[in-house]
Amino acid sequence: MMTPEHYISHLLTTSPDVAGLVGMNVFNIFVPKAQTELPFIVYRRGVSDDENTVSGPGPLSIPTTSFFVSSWALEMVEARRIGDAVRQALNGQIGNVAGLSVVSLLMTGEVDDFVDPTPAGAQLPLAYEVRQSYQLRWQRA
Amino acid sequence: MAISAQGLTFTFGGTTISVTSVSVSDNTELLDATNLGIAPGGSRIYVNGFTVDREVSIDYFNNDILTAGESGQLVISGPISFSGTATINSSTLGASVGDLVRGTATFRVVS
Repeated sequence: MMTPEHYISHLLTTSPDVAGLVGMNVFNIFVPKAQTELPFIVYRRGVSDDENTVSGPGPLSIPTTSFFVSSWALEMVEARRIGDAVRQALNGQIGNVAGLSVVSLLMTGEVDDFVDPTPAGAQLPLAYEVRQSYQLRWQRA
Repeated sequence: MAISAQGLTFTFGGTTISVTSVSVSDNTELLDATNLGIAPGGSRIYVNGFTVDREVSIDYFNNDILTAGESGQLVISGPISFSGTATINSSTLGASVGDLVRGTATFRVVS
């Protein structure tokens, strides 16, 4: 069964622009320990809301699920470039895509951030993040 | 005793509407029939005036515009139950970015 996670992953890994920047380094929820090099993308599901009617599940089981997609890189400009490619791959998708019936996929926000690992004793460079939030309305099977 | 709202069905003109909220409001006008025969400190007297005015309001999912002025048989069954001929008093249908099409409507039960 196609899940929203499969759908997000499919859109990101089949985008030539995204693939050109991060390759296949697209991960759900967490980054594997073996993945020691930037850049990469991590996405995860946030809140999922179902709306119901008094007569039962409804309307037609169309939940709203929020997603957060983080684009990480060693340079801010690179993280920004990946973030823009992610936005172009995801924002505005509608219809039956990769086996999932998508009512709408819209970007709802974006924030820049960074992590400095040196205070924790790690001898690693700064890492920059572009974190985007999306609202996905989809048809539950 | 508390009763769950789930299981309620709403139909108007034979069409089932997917409602998320239903409220039934009754209103009547009581006539003040107080007269000079009431002793000081006594209570006022009220008598019924017109027939009870019943208004039904709903929030619903659909893309049908419920046209104001349209009449039909309104049937509510389940936890709340009654039926009658009703006329749509007002309705609003909205479509917003990232949202489902949803509307509100108010009916006046006329008999």
